[in-house]
Amino acid sequence: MDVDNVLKNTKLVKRYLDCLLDRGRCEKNGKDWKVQPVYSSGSSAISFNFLKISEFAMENRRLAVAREEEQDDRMKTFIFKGEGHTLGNAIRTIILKNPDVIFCGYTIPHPSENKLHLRIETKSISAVDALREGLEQLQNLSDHILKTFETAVVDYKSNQMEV
Amino acid sequence: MSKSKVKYSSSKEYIDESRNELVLTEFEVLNAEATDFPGNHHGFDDSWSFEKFKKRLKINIVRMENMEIEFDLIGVDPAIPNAFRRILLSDIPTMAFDKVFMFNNTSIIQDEVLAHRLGLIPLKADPRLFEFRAEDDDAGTPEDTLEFELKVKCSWNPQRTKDHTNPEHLYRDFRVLTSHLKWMPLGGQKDIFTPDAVGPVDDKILIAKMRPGHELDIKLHAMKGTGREHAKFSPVATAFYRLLPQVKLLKEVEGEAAQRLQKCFSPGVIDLVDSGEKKVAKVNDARYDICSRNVFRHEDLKEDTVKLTRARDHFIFYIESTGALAPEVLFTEAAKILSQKCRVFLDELKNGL
Repeated sequence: MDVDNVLKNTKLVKRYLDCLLDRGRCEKNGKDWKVQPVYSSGSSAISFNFLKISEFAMENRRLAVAREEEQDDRMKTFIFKGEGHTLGNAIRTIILKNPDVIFCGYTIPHPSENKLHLRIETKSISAVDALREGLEQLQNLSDHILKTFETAVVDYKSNQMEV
Repeated sequence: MSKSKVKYSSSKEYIDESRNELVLTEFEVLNAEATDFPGNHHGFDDSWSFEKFKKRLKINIVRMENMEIEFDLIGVDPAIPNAFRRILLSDIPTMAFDKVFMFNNTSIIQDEVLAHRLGLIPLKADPRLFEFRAEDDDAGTPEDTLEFELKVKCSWNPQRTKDHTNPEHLYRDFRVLTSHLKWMPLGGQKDIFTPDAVGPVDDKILIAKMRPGHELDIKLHAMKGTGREHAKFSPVATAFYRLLPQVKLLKEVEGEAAQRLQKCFSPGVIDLVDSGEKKVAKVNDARYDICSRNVFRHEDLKEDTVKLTRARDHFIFYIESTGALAPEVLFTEAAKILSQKCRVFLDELKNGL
């Protein structure tokens, strides 16, 4: 795409922006290009980088990797579509309990964008494995809390009956 | 008691405390952040183990009523009860009026205000028996919509006398209540539900006030939604938790000082016990203390007399339902939703990134 040419044409820029911000219809080019914030280390400035995210091109996918061109499997930023602090903080806490994980943190880059960025850096296992383990552990935890709670309710009810 | 004045006999004691208790001092709360992650504390195994978690977790129901529940959730990280709390507020769906068709409204309450008030009425309908309505669907189907009708006309009471001034005697139907809402079953809904099972939680909720000649003719569609979309869909009035308060007396307090000490805490926290001639203060039960820290206002009681802490992993969880689902059902739904959130992303990982 000839970026310079596009930028000269205000009408075209507006149309691309509408597409990228989900405000209007998308043409073929617009669909392929989606906006994604990129954080440059060392400066607090956030630069917007036009980056191709093939994962989200499939509309119903909810998980993607940011900056795919970075090859290191041990460091990844995952993008969760439609999630917030509810899952973010819980999954961060449980992934941090993994001794192989050096860093795990999450951010919601913009409050009006329903997206969660989760960064994982590990010593030896791949970041994807750390995420998978964390999700499995959180799922087991919540299933176990459900089971324990249901037993507690039954116990409470039978105790009340006796009284 | 400022930070520097908290005394520890060893560094182990300090670390143990920072891992297990929040310390309430006169001007600050110590150990507020979680530090129990692998690599932080030498000699502690903080790595995740399901077996360890199973042993630590305890759930104890303290009080369970129609609309309210209080229970202890012990042995979890703060992120977990917080996830449940957030799910209770905004992720569990309920049914609420979302489409209001006004055919006539001659009351003094404006259409949009009335529509908003109607939306906030909690309904008894079990949201698990309904589907979310498709975005482009305006008509609705029996699977995703409950239709109600509100037709009220205010009139003079024919039996009124001249000296009556009370609106109760002067008018008829001058108060529009939720009991005026009439359920209009769609399709086969009549066979599945009873009017009592889908209607408003309370039939005495005031919707509007009218005067003779005023009239309402409204059709309403109740739809399934979540608190994320609008607070009217939230299934809870409140859902919150607090950490278990602990009060420790470090030395004997007697006589007048003991009475003052007792008054610094919520009723039932400190007991006065007879010991010879004098009354001595004793901790009875700190659970329902509001943690006011009033004790630090007394010069003679603030140094080395009491230690106020809260248990780090003992959450007292409260849920108040709006009436659609029982409070204990709400918590089980919340746990299911958290588990489902994980499953969705595990499936995504399975399909490859």
